[in-house]
Amino acid sequence: MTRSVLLPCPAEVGQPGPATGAISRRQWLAAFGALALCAGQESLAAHGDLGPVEPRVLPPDLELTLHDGRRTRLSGLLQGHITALQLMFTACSSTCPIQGAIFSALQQALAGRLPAARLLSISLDPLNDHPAQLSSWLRTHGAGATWQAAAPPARHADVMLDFVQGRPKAGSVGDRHNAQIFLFDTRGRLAYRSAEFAAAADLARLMQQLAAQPG
Amino acid sequence: MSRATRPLLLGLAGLAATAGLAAATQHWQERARWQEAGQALYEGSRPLTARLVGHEQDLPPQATRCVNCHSGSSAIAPALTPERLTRHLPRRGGPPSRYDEASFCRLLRSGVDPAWVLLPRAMPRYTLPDRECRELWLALSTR
Repeated sequence: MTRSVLLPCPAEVGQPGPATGAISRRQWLAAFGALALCAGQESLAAHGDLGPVEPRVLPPDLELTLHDGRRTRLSGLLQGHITALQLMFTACSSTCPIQGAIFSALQQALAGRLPAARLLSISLDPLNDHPAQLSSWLRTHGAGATWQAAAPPARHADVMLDFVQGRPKAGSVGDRHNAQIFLFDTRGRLAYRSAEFAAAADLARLMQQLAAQPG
Repeated sequence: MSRATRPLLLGLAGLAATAGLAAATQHWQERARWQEAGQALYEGSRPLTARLVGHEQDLPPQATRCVNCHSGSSAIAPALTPERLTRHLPRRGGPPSRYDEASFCRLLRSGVDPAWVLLPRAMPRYTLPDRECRELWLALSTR
């Protein structure tokens, strides 16, 4: 049997788990440690903005325009799915192509393991990122049906950036945003902040663990 | 020198000069070809193979282009000019250092700079044959 390296499931080894079924602090720390080790020195310095979010918090319910032109609310995209969210903009030529590649790899990693999971790329440049630009960006990275891109109204361009604490930190290379990935649970709450440029395999394991928790 | 041998010597000198000129021309043409090939690697018209530390998959070519981060208005890394590469400069908080071909190639492959400072994780680590690395070095250090 294949067992999770990051968050061993007590049920699989015949041990009683926490009464609530929630992931224990030790398990979160194990997962967090694994990602932080992957992250290198620059992310180790930013403990406050990394790892599990406790208590989990709902994001502002932003109005969003999707890559296909539909208007929706962030809550509608997040609720009911484990979601990985990244901040980007299509004119960003430095870190965003790498972020796109990470989501592409994550999409592949999740396909056979957690097909109900969702990926969401939110633009920080709503003045330039219209549905056509977002669609093109998704195509460039081979996005499938479970990966969406969206932009908020211009007046709310930085709301998500502030909510997830996604501004560049000491040691970050980005100029407007860092390259963390933010995981949301099925109730649409922010549950985890990854290290910058986290590996797709680690993110997929974390998302599986999130999905295994009772809602 | 006799009258008979002078034309012979002049002819030999001419031949030697012509051969030297041809060799020099060939050298510079070869060098220009290598620089051109290196410039294509730098700009991404020739793909580079690389991945991030700790990742299991290579990045797609559009994410490994040097120009993505080292050029243009949204550059987040230093411009790769001959002066910047070959002058003795403090880099990333380390002691002053300068690149040569060997240290340049080591950095691309391992992320370790000439002063043994580790580069940020965002810099991909490249799988680069010696020839391609030399082409890139020639393009960037002598343009």
